[in-house]
Amino acid sequence: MNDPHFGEPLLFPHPGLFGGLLWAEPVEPGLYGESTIEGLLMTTNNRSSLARWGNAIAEHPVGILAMEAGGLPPKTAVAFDLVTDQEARRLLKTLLTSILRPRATRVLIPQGLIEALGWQDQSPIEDFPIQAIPDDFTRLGEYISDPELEVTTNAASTKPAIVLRLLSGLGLWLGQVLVFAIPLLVFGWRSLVLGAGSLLAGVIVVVLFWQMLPGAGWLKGLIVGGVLAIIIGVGSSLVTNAGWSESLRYSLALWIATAWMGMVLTGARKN
Amino acid sequence: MRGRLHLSTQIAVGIFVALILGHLYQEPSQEMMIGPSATPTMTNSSMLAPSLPSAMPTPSIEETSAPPRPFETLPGVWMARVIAYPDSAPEIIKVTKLLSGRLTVSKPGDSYVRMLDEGGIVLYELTFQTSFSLFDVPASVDDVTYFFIIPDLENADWLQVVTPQGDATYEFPLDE
Repeated sequence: MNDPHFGEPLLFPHPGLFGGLLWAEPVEPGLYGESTIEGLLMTTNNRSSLARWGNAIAEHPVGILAMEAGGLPPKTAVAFDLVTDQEARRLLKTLLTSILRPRATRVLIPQGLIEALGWQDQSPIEDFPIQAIPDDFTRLGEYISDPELEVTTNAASTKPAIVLRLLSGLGLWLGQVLVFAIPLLVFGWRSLVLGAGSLLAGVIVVVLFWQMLPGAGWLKGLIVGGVLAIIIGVGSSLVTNAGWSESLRYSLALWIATAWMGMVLTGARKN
Repeated sequence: MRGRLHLSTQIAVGIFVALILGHLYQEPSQEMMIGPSATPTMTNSSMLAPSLPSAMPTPSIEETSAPPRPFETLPGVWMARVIAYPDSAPEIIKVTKLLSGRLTVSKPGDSYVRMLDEGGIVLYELTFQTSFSLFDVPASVDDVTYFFIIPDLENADWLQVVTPQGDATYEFPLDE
């Protein structure tokens, strides 16, 4: 993971058009907010998330650390292993001991992100206690005023990582179909339907096998897409009596679509 | 990091990927789909016709369990070139075996292309509309040439073309 920008505090972005639902919304990772901060709130470099928390802390001496996560929302980024426990600890340690000491006195982390990372409320990092805050940013003021205030855990609202990956993948698939629609339609409705279908199949298999596959997203897509393409190619050739060249074309298209979805699932780069 | 692209690059490359997918998924080339739905071509009616059999069995229709499927490239098909006339029976000019092709699909009409077995049972039938008018103008043509792509059926012995003006038949060669 590249270290984020720790120079002059960055300016908060405006909310994105799609709210991160259909596409990654990367902004520059780094430290956002005023330079004289007493607390540090941790999130990812997702535009919507950062803009939302930026509004919430406007009246408080709190800065925000936006971790590099390809512009995905915090919980989704953890579900895709783009933000890991070790990387987040290393980053916080660097920031708190080298840059913010002795100004910042505590670390505020949204409850959903704490649960996703497997951390505990009030457990310290380099002597700085972690305080869980609700994911509902409207109640942030109460927690900043009272460091002892604890978040009521709602286990029912916590989705498993695979469900988060699937939901995020489906949103991203919809966004991709919007971009792909016109170029696919150039070749006819058949291309549009089959193209959208192969992207959907690709995103589903990549998401399902995400944690079993090695390497970056595109490599995961290449591996699982290759297996899927062989199965579909051989199957269509045997079951539908399609010619080998036709089966080969469909398999190749499915492979490309899966590798592509694997790559975009890791988000995008801002710079 | 991890092979991420810049957002604008991602969209641009995405469009390129979409074009590749579109090309791979598009309908295969349709150069073999020549039939009556295409614009008729005017030809010289002095072309030679094959010798027609004298004893042609009376056709009767029998449903087959697995009819040849349209819109799929089939290995081994026949291409029949037929000339229809406004005032006389049609002529089957030439019947050629092709390595592969797609069956002709046409709108139903008053004429038929049939494949019959030796007992006169219809194994395959294609209906089409003969028209001798030149587009929307009142002028008409002397003859119209049609190309039909039909399947290679194991038991087919005869090819029959029927128009309102009459019919023509062709016997498939034994060694085919």
